[in-house]
Amino acid sequence: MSESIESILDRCLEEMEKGRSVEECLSRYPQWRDELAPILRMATRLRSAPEVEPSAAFRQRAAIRMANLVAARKEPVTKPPRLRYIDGERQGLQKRERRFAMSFVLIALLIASLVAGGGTVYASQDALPGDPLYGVKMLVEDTRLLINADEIGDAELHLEFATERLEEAATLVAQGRPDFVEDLMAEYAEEMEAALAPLADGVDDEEIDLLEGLGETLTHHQTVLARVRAQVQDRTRSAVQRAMEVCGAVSEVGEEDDGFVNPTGADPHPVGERLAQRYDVTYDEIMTWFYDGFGFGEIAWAYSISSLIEHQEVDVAYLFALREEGWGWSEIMQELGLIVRPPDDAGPPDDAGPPDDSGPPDDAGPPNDAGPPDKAGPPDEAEPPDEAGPPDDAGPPDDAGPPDDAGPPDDAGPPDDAGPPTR
Amino acid sequence: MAEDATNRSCEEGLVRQAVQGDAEAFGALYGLYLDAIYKYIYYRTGNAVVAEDLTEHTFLKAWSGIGNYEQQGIRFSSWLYRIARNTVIDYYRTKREEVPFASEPPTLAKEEGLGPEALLLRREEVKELQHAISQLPEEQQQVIILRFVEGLSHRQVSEIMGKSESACRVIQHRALIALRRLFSEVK
Repeated sequence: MSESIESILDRCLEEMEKGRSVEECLSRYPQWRDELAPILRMATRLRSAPEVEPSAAFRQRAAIRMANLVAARKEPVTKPPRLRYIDGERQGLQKRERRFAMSFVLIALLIASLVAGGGTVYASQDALPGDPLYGVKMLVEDTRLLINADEIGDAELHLEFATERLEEAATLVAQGRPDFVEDLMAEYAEEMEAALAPLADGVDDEEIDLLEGLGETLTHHQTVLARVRAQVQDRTRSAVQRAMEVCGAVSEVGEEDDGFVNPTGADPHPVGERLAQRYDVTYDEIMTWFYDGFGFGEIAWAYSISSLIEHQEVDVAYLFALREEGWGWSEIMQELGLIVRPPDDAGPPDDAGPPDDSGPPDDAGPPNDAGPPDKAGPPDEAEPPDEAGPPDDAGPPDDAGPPDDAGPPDDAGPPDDAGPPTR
Repeated sequence: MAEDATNRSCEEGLVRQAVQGDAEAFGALYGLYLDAIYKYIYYRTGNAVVAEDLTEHTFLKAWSGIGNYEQQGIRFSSWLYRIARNTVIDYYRTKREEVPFASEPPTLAKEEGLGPEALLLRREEVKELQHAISQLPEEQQQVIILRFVEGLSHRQVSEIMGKSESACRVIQHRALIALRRLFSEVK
């Protein structure tokens, strides 16, 4: 049975939607060319017509009227908590809630703006507490949570918002406006706890992805928190300290009382596999160190350094033994002649290797809280290990190896007589 | 495809909350569908002021009747389009003889960057198209607007119109021929 003209028309319209021209469609149905050509051109004209939309004035008027009418049918409601920063207004911390008839108008306007690419929403993204647009920024966050349907997506959003609160605090402190920092720290803690809520009852495949991204984020958080703490005083400092404790607690997810466990639950662990491949050793060897309590970042440093040293005694086991004795990576590298000790003992230069107290660089994994506290690196990041460094089990990053430019330079090879350091 | 599924899932969540009386969730749905419903009504009426008024009525009716939504067994947006269609029909039935609202030019989605002359031309293009569509029988108007202005699938159009997909295809074919003829007559 031959295909009807209606079906052929429809097929052509579908193909045109995918980018085919009218002429290409017509060439496939030459017997229908005369009939199809004018109506396909008509369809093209319809599809390319300018889009109409409601005026901005109508959007605002209608949203307010709708809000009033909707509210008239429901119980009166309170002000959205996140509007508390507008025009410098501050109220006590409240939990995120999602049921405000008055926020109807804001939500409606916001989503309409997002759909239409609203400039106000875009402009609000750099707003800080106290700025007029900060309420819009909070609303954008609330709305993203509202329209997100899955638990892991919510967790990722909370993590993103926690990072945002930290950045805001750091910016305010840098601008000499620490007034809101205390509240921001409390919000940070709340966001972090919300982010980890899905992991409370075990870890599944999706949550592994969340955990794998967590290590790097926590390292960044600890760095920013340490910087903020160094620049604030008294109550605000205590608030930052509490936020650091939350960050530290978050990094312990996956650790159980009866010993160290693979925090991601993945078997085989993808980062372990990559490290084994990179350093040409067995997966089991990598995981043995991992289950001994060394993070993937640490393992990457050990194999990286070991590969630069010819001396037979300086193997990975030896390097890990030094770490357990309290040696920092830059100390070890100095002793092995891989980097030159700075003249004023102010910590290693930025491009010479990892600072003792920070472990591998950001993309190499979370720091291992290693390095003697009295041998501080750069002052801003030189927090005591128990406050500034998440433990190894905070979750390995995607790329666990040290970056090419973070290790010793090519011409900084070990001296011929490089042997094991002694203490 | 995955994005569609995610959006659908988000929307279903909002609808569930709205059905339970969550005004904020309904506000989110309002924000999501405001433009689409307005556009549909504008092409049905050809008057920006009337379209604004009827758009508000549509959403108010939706909020009033949302408790019955789940019994309809169709997607939320289809339900909204049905309400919008009935609102337009009611408008023509009851207000036809009254003095119409002053007609204002339609607001275009991408007016920024257009010079006054280009803006005028584009608005004229919309008005000309709308006028031609308004000459079609009601069913054909429905299909043309839903398919080509709103960009909906036959499946959803058939859901909104309560007809089979093949019936909608036939209506689409006839509507395009009629529209083409109307434009030819003008020129």
